[in-house]
Amino acid sequence: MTVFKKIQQLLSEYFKEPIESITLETSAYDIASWDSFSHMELMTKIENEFQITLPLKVIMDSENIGDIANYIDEVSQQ
Amino acid sequence: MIFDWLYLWVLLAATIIHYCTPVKHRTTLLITLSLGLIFYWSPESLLALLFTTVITFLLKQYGSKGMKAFGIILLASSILAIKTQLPWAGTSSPQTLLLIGYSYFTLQNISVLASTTQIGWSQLLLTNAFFPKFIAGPIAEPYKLTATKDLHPEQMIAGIKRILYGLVKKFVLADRLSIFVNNLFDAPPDQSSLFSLFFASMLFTFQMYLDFSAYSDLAIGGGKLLGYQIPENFDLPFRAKSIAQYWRKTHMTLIKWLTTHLYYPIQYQLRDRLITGTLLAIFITFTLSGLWHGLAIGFLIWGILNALYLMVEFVAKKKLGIQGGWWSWPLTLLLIILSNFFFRIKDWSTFTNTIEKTTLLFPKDWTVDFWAILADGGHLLQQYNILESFLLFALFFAAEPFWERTVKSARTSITFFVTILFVLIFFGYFHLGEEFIYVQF
Repeated sequence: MTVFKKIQQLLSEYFKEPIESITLETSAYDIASWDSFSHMELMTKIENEFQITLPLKVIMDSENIGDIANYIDEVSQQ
Repeated sequence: MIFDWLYLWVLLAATIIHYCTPVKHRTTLLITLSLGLIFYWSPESLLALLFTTVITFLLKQYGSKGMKAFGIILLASSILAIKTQLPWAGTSSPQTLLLIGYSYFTLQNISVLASTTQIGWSQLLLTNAFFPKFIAGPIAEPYKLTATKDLHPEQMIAGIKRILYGLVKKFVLADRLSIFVNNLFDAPPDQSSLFSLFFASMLFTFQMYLDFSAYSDLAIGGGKLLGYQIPENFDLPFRAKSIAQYWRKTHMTLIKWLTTHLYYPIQYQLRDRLITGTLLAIFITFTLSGLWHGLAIGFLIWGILNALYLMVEFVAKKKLGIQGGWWSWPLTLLLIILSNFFFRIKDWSTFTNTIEKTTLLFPKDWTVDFWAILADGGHLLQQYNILESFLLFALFFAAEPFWERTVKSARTSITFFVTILFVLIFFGYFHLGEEFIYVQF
């Protein structure tokens, strides 16, 4: 399963949104219940899933799910 | 901004010169004009601006990580130190302030030191000194303040529309409200009541919003004339249905700064215990937001109250699963009005005096103890016409989304300019000399 597919599934379960509605471009603007608390809780779930530590800058500056997936891809290739 | 109309003349001159100057010299021109105007407003403020900008630039270029952290602590402490020097009385005039604009450009410098991105000297100086937003923000992100190279007529028209809208908010609405607010808060002891104070706080809440958003409109409009996009500071805050939503719509650039530099870092560090971490992050962020306005007990209580509102709302929503209803909107407004009472009172002695002199729940005689006070002993009934004022406020707030859309839309009609000039000329109070409230911060 690719990084994006795993994140897609996490997001779908967390926000109770249909999995097909989550794309690489999905961001906090697309899901009404995605607030600052949900954001941090979701990032913690992603950290646990991939066994990594996301830097604060990545958590704050990522504009969409694609940015997070790209970061995890880069880290896992190093 | 110290509104003596000089600002509009300088803006007009700057716009003309700006577009007559070759593109490569425009930044230098704007910096020179801005520094000149700041020197005219307050030479001490110019010195403080240059000093902190130089320090920030040197630390950014040559400082180690530890030195940058030290610089951030120094800059943050200097805001609180400067606040102790400022006069807190409601009559404070910007001319008497020791330093103007300090708490705004210092936050921008902290952002620069906290960021890993490099910044050029002229970009940093321009962001700090840019005269349309120098005195009271909006707080700009130094890396994002860039100009368009060509003259766009639609952007010029958008700028003029925004400035006229700001002038209407200030002179037609906010300054009218200031008369009623001052009358009710300064009522003689035997004529004060808790209802009068609540009503005064409600009017002050609207006054503060109109006054500050008017300043932001002038800054954003001025920026547009010069080809710069200054960030928005308000988004219909009185339509919020929760305190969290209200704070996403009010003084947005300060809240964004606090969220980036305080709230998220605290929450991130404590994300293993996310509920506790979030509650602590809210409390620290909003308490410091109160103190950013000044070292006064009223601002501290205001900050703590808003933090408590947000914490209770957070627990109610996330842990108890309570969702909003029809009552969310009036409750949000009520809580904001209550907290703004402390914001207006500011110091402890005024608070105790106000509470001591207020023994009644409602006015004894509504005509004498409420309407006459509100109307300045009856003078305002003829001179300023209370009914006219309240109709104007009602008309503005009832249709505010429509006014906002009209002002911000790309379409412009002659009707818009005729209407707004008519309202400004016939309903504006230009003689009151009320300063912008947020100039003092």
